[in-house]
Amino acid sequence: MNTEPPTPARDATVAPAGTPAAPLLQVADLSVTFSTDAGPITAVRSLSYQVQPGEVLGIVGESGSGKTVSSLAVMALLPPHARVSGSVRFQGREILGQSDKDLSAIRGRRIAMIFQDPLSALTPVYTVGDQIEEAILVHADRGGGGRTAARARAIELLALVGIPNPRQRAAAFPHEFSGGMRQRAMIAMAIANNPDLIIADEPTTALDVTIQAQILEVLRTAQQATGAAIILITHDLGVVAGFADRVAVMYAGKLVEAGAVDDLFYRARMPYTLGLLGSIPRLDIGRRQPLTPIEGNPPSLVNLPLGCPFVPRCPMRVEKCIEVEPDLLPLAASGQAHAAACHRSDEIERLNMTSVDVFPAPARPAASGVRVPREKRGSLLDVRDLVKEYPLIKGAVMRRRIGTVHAVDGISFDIRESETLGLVGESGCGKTTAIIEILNLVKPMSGTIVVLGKDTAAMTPEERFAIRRDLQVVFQDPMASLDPRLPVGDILAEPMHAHGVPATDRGNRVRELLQLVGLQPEHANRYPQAFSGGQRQRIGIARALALQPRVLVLDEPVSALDVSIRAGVINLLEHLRAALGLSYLFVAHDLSVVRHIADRVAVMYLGRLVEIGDIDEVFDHPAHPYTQALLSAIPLPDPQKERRRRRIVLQGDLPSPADPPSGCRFRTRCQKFAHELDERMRQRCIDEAPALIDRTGSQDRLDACHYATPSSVL
Amino acid sequence: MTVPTDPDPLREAQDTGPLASRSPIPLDAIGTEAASRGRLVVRRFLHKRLAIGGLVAVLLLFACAYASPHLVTWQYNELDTSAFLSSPTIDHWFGTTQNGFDMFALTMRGMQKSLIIGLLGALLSTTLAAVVGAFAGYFGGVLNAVLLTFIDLLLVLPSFLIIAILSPTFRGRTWLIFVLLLAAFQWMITARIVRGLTLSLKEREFVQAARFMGVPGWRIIFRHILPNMSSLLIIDATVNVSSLILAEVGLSFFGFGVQPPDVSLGTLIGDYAGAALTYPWQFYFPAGCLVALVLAINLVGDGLRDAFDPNAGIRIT
Repeated sequence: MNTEPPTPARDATVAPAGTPAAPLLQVADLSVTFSTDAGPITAVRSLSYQVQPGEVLGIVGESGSGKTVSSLAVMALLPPHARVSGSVRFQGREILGQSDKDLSAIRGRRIAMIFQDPLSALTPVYTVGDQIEEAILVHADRGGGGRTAARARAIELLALVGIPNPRQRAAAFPHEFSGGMRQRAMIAMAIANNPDLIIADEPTTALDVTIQAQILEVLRTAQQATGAAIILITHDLGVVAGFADRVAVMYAGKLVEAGAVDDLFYRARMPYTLGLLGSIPRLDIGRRQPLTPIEGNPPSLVNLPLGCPFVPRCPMRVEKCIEVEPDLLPLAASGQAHAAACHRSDEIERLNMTSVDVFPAPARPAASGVRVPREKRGSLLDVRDLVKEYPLIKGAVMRRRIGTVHAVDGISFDIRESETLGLVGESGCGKTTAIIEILNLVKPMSGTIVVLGKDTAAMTPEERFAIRRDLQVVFQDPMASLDPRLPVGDILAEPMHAHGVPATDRGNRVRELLQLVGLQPEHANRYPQAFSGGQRQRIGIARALALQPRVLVLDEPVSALDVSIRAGVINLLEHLRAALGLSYLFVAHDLSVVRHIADRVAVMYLGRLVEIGDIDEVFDHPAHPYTQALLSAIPLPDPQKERRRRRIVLQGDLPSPADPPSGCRFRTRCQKFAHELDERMRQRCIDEAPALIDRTGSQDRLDACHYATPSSVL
Repeated sequence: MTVPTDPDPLREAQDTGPLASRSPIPLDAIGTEAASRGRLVVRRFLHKRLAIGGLVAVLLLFACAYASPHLVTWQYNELDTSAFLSSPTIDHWFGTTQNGFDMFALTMRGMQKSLIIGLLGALLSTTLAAVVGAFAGYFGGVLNAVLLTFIDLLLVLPSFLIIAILSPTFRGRTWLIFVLLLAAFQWMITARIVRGLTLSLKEREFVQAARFMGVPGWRIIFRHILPNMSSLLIIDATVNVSSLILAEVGLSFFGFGVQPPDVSLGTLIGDYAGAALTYPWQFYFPAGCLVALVLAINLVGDGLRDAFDPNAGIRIT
């Protein structure tokens, strides 16, 4: 490498090109250290960035990268035992080291914060209106207007963030609000005093994707109303792509790359950023996309080694990387605006490398030979009109039934040999209830479940036990699904023990399984705590494979994992499917992952299927308005596409499954119902529940909308 | 694929191989920071000075109770006809009784009995509580209703009275019946706690995973559910030891427990309570041993509770 060292260097704070104006927020050399039993943890290491008035800065990083801690440090909200050094200047005034009283004049007034979990951020014993009022009154100058004015302003704010009937809802308590509504209330509180800077810490992570779209809209409205700058902290590159002007990527407490959103997404120059971008499944590409996992795990922040913290996971490392940690330096070609912390970023720039160049993507398992047409393959799992209802019971002594929760209300689908069906829907739509019903292998309340040709209603206990061999499950949370008291070897041997595999064979099979999922046989003696999330999920998969099943039920298998780990597990699942000829029932709320892995997809809404069919068919030309809205709500990690897209934002929240709307269940939120249909057509939606039938005349697709019209939303 | 022009030695080594086996981190590196939970508990326990003191005291008293008969000249059933009502001397450390029994030997013998009754009873009652509670919680339904009713029934019975009434029937037979009876009235509250914990553990994914694998219910209980509440069970057993010792002492004091010629701390205290003011060594030595024993066990119990509770350790030093 003969490139000369970039000259304008050392304190390369990342500033947008050509902005001479004084920055709103200037963070310089910020470090935060916590002392713990295990030794000092440096959560943030010499972080420097600037925020200009009115701009949106996205800070992206995985869990533990220090993004939340750094934003709390900016607000001076860290606990007293945290050691903070460096400088945070807000409107030219130093924030660090100020007394709490002085800071209170700034916090909530000039800088506002929106937290991830709106339930714990609102006080449960005061009404939402009171809390917004308080936020206003606390900062009110000389009592101007007083309570009545504050009340009026609170209601105005609630209306601004899109809460229907704001006057009545202001008198409601936080628990009476849904998650999305609470987050709206939080935003209302944040903008109550026209702040200059809003720090939003994972504001949509806890929310469903259609609600996320609503909240991002509200945040945009709020920004327009106040002209505030926003620091958006998230792990979701899609959210950043559509929302931020500039993006900073954090890894192990440091900024590793920063620049304008387009620079970062299309011309990333740091291997970690490239890896992140390459490891997200894209909703608009699907199976053709090679996923490039970043191997290994983020480093522990205790006793970080000297060199670049990404070294152990970096395919491009050289000797220098192990010895010297690179500084965040502007790139030769793009000047101050785009900076990366990598010794080899100039090289990456010169060769214009992409994630596939840096991270070798594993070869996609080839579809074995000519695929037998679907109709000719045998059915492994056939669910017809499955119903599951829960009674709503009131009273402890005089128990009486006051209603019914229609969790699953007549869904039908089947899975053929070596096929993956993705079952998607938002939380509360009944997808988990449906798979638990299937896994229980008992007679359902109504409808039939046929597994490998055997009806669960007619099974003897012996048959049921034997069928369990072929139908295994992988759970969402790899922390909860492995017994912490057993070593991994015992965990893997358990299904074999239950099904009478001789003890001598079990040991061999355990070693075989560990290798199959990319772990090492010696790991059999360790306890689950010794493994990271991704590794534990691999153990969960290995356990499910122990008895060589034919169908795997995967319940959100990657949603609890960090982005960079996720790709590895998805690739593993694809590899296993091809190698072992498995069929998957893949339950997920993340449509991008489903698009990547599934052959067919079934979309669920409020206990019913609204659309089912071939994955590309459904994703490219969704027919049902809900599918369209769902797909449209998902942000793409592609800034240019994001800017061009028109987003369908659904109204309101999911209705209660205890009291579903008559006729079509989606009609209360349906954009088609609201804007396109006339009175007579609407009446049909209200009166008649649409059946799941083939309306579009396509090969393999059913939908449940009276007025289905396929259209593309990606 | 546009490969960078300069050869990268590190790159080559890991370019092939399926999936995760390419991991550049030597996987041996994992697991170093994750000290096993058991070791963590031990470490936290060792940080509690009082609990360590308690543990040492319990072990000393235990050793003393069992070793001393072999080390001293006088046994609990031997009379020293040359020393009636002697105050503590070199020969008789705790003095003697009116009949010339050696008070030290008697106290140690009593402590043996009390300790064994406490330990055995606690083991029995905690085991019973764990099994009944876990089965009621895991299987639910009719079994749950029957077991819960039974538990509630036992809870309202006056245990002291019942043992007192039954005591003549086992007079002259083994003291093990007495242990059984004590344990039978000790387990109910723990069983209810175990049942509650089982209900929540039952919903945990690793239990569901085992269930969907076809592992039978009883094995899930013994393999997954009970080991995962072992901290509760250990603490409960420890606390039960001291409360059973106290129950034994109470019953024996009134003559319903351990029967002569055998002695326990309870019978000793009962027999010599009247001498507390006149010949104080007869009363204060066994009573002091009782207090020391129970206090030490309770300190151990407290220490264990703190060591097992992950929230108790969050103190930045």
